[in-house]
Amino acid sequence: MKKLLSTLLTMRPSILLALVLLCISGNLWSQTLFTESEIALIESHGPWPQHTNIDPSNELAGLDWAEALGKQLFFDKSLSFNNTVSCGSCHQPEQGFSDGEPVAVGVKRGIRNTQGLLDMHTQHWFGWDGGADSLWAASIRPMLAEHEMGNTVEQLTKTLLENTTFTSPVKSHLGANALENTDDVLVIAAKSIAAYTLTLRSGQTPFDLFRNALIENDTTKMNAYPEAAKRGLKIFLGDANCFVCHFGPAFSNGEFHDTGRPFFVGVGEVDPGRYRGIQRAQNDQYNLLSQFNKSNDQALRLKTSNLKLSQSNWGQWRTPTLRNLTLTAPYTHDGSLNTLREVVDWYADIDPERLHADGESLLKPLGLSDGERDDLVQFMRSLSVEVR
Amino acid sequence: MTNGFTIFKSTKWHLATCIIASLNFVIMTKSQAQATDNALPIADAHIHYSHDSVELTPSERVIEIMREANLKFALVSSSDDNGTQMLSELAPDLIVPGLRPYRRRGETGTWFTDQEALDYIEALLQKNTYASIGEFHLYGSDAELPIPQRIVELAEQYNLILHAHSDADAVERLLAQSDSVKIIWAHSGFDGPAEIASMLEKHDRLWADLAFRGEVGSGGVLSDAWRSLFETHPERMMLGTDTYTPERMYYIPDHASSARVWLDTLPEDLAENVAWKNAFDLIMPIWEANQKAAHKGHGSSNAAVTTDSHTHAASHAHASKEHKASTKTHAGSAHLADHTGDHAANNCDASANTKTVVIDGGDYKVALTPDDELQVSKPASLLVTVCGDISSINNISLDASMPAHGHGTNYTPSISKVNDSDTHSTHRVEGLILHMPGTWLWEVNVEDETGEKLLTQEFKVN
Repeated sequence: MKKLLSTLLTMRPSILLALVLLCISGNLWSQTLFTESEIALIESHGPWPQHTNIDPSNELAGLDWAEALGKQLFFDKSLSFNNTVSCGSCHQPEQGFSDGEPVAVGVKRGIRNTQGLLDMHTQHWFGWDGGADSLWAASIRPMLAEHEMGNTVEQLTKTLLENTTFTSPVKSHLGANALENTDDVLVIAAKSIAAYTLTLRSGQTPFDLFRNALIENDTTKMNAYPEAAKRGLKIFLGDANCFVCHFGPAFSNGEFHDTGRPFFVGVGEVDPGRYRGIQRAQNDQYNLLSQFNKSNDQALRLKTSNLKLSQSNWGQWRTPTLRNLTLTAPYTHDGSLNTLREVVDWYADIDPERLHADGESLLKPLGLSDGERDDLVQFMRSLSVEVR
Repeated sequence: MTNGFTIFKSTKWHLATCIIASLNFVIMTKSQAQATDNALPIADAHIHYSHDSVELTPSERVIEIMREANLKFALVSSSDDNGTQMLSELAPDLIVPGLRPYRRRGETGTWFTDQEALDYIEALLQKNTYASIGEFHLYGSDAELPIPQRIVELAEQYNLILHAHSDADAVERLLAQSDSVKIIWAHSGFDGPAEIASMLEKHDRLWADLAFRGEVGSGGVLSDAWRSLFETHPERMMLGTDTYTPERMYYIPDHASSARVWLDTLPEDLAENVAWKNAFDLIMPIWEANQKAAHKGHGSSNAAVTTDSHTHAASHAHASKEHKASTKTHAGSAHLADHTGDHAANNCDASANTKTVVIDGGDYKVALTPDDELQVSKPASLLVTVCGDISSINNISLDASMPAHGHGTNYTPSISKVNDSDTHSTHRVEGLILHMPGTWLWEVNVEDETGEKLLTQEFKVN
C-alpha cells in the first residue's frame, strides 16, 4: 500500500488526473452500463419479495393452525406406504427444499429431478410437467405416486384418521363431519401441507438489492453488485433473450417450453413432459374443476378448462425459477446438468436439430465466449439468497 | 352425423381416445398398446428414423409403436437412409421408404448446393427402391438451383413423389420443372387452410400433409376453415407425425389418437380419406409399381412405370359434402353479463375508451378493450365489440400469436356473447394468457356466410 501511495505521489499531475478520471468513469460505469429499456426490464424482475395472494382455491391457506398441521404432515413418514419417506425426505430445507440428487428417490427411484419448494406462491402450474393445477393437488400426487410415497387412498386415509395430531385440529376448526368423506380427509391433509409450503419464501438477493439501487439511483449500492454479474445480466436481457421465458420477479413465466433437452427414461420409453401433464391436469379428480375447489371465483378454473393440448407440448418442461439455484443443483427435469455452467453451455450451444424448423424461433446457438458464459453464471448466482 | 352407425363409430373412437387420455402413467409404456386395436387406421406420411433415433430406439420398438397406433402404413425417410432400410426390412407391410438427401441431421440448409448430397441420393437410388424423395427443406428460388433440378429429373426417372418442406413459391417452381412429378407438400407449407386450398386448386399434382400442425383440430375441435379445406379437397390432404427428434417417435400413437378425435367430427368417408385413403391412393400405387419394376430386374430404376394415383383415388373416395358447420357464439352467462357497459365500446370507436384498440377489417370492425393492462402470464379478460352486418356472422373467436417466435398461446380463451344489435355485437373473452413479453398479434376470426375473415393487429406486452 505504501509503495502504491509513493508511486502515486511521484506521478506527473497529468497522469494522476487521467487515473482519477478513469476511476470516476469506472464508478459511473454501473449507471451507464444499461440502456433505458434494459433498466425497465430489470425493474420488471421485482420487487422482491412478492407479498402476493395466498391460494384462493385453498381455504386453509394463511391459517396458522393449518400451516402448523401442514408442517407436521410434511415431515411425517407415516404418510408413505412403508413409513420410510416423508415429503421432507426429498424436499430438504437446507437444500432449498430439494435433495441434491439427479432424480428423486422415494420408496423407489423416480425419473425426475426434485424441484425446490421456495416461493411456490408465484407459480400457477406445479411439477415439471404442470400435471397439477394447484399446490394442494400437487401435494396429493406424491403421497399416492408409486415411486414417491407409494400409498393408497384407503391406507393413507386410515393413517390420517388414526393420527390425533391430524384429527384434533381439523375437528376443532372444521368440525367433526369434515372428516366423514375419504376424499375430504385426503384433500384437507393436502391443503394443510400446501398451506405450510406457501409459507416457504426466500428473501432478497444481491440482484434485488442492485435492482432497487438502480431505481433509487444509489451509485454506492449499485457498485456493490459484482461487475461480472452486471455483464451477465446484460447478456440475460440482450442477445441471449433468457428473460423472455425467465420473466418477472420469479424469473419464470410459469409456462412450458421445449428447449431440446432429451427425455428418454430408458430404452423404449420416454417421459413426454407437458403433453402428459396437460392430460393429467385435465383428468385429475382433485383439479380446480372438481368439487374440492370451494372457491366461487370462476376465473380460477379457466386456466384448466382453457388448456390447449398440442403436439408441441411433447417434450416441453416448466420454465423453472432462477431464484436460489445455488441451493438446488443439479438442474433440468432429469437432473442431468450438474452445474450452472453446464446449464449456460447447453443454451449457448443449443442444437437446432433438436428443435423443429418451425418451432420456437427464439432458440438458437448464442456464440458466447468463455468469459460471457462465466458472466451469465455469476448473474444467476446473484439470484440466490445464499451464494455458494 | 346422426345415423346409428356414426353414433356407434363415434362412441368407439371416443372410448379409445379416452382410454389413451386417461392413462396416468408419467412415462409411455407398452401398456398403451391395447387401446387402438379397433381404431380408425391412420397413414402416417411423415416419419423419420434418423441416426440418433436408431441409436436410442430399437427398430423392433419403432414397429411396435406404429402397430400400437394402428397405422395403415408409414412413409419413412431418414437421415441417413439406414434407419429407413432397417424398418422396411423388418415390416415391409407397414413401411414405405422415402429417400432423404441428408446423411446426418443438420443438412437441411446445405443439401441443395452440396454435390455430395446429390451423389448420395443417386447412389442409393441405384441400390434401393423408394416411393419418394424427401422430406427435404427448400425455399423460394433455391428450387431452381442445379441440384434441386436434378432431383426433379430423378423423381421423373425413378417414378418418385417429391416430399417438400417448402414455401408455396418453391413448390410451384418444382412443379414447373416437370409435367408429371407429384409433390406432397410437407406441413402444407405452414400456410393457412385458405392458402393450401388455393394451391391445391391450382395444382392437380399437389397433395398436402399436416405434420406438426397442432392447430388443426386443436382440443378436438376442427375450425370451419380446416373443415372447408377437407370438404373442398377431399382427396388431397393427409396426416403425419414428423419424428424430428428421437423422442417424437413415441408421439405417433398420441398423434393418431388425437387426430381421430377431430376426424370423428367429419363425415365418415371424408374422415377415412384424410386418415389414410388419400395417402394410400397416392403413395401405394407408386410404391407397388416401383417394387414390381425392381423385381423384374430393372434394379430400382422404374422410369417406364406410370401410374395415375389421382384417378385411382377418385374411384372410391367420395366424401360427403353435406356437413355444414353451424358454430354459433354461445350466449353470455349471468355473471359475465354484469361486466357489460363498464368498459365496452358500444360501437367500434376507439375514443370510447383509452384502452380500446380498433381493427378495421373492411367488412367488419373490431374493438378490443382489455379490463386491465395486459401483463405477461397474467390471465386477462377483455370485451370484443364487432361492428358490421351482425346477422350474417356465424362465429367469432379471438386468440393471439407471436409471429417472430412462431407460436401462439397455450390456452383457448373463453368467449361468450354479452349482447348484440343489428349493427354490433359485444363478446366477453376470459382466460387469455400471454406468456412472453414482446410483440404479439391479435387474431380475431369472424366467420360469416362467405367464409372466415381474420382481423389482426400487433400489440406489445411488457
